[in-house]
Amino acid sequence: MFNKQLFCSAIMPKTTPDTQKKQQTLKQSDVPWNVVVLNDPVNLQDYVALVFKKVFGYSQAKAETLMMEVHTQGRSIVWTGGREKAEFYVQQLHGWQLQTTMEKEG
Amino acid sequence: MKILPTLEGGLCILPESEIDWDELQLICSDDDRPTYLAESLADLMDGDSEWGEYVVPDLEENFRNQTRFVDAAIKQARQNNEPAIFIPPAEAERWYGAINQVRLSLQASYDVEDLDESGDLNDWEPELRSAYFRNRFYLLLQSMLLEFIMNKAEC
Repeated sequence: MFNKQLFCSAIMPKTTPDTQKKQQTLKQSDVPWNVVVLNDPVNLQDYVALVFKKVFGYSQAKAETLMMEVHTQGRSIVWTGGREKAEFYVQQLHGWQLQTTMEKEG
Repeated sequence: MKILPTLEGGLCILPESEIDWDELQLICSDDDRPTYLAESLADLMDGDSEWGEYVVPDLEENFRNQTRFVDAAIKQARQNNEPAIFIPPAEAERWYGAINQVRLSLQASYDVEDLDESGDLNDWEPELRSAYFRNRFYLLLQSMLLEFIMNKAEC
């Protein structure tokens, strides 16, 4: 007779504290990250829209919508995705002197 | 001082007095500005990140390259008694970045964008008045860089 419990224990790796930690880390890095641009009184609106087009390849209309969101609401989520790419985009936006941070989605 | 678009798609700055030249040289007067800006942007990241170690030096170098480039262009034109400083399209972003640094710095020190302009400007402290007018001039220069060069390059 097929013993499901024995079969599972034979093929599945035992869950050790190390593997639990790895799984948690994996889950954390899988969480989407938001790239958030904050409003500041110095950067010109046209410039902010231009940077969004250059960095993300957004259309004029999308870049302007996001720029206006930054201007009117004080912040805008301009991109969401994996952590590494989010860090890359934040670095790019810092290079253009935009106040930018990142946060876990949700 | 006059600022004009050129036929080559750039800008031409025509200083008309020593004060105008001084005003331009003040764009790059503070050696610490690139460091301060890079660190203040890093402060926006969470404390656990290694942003300060890995990203800040690159940002600082990038910002310093902008100010060094603009500083050299202004000094060279002034020393050679050239009547104008030309900004070709390829150099517009570096000029914009250097000017943005000084405007961010003026904002941090004097809140220049939030000053109440309704009163008599002559009543202001000379330092504050100077910061206000410098910011207005740099803002105009940035607006022209955007209108005549950077936005056109995107089209």
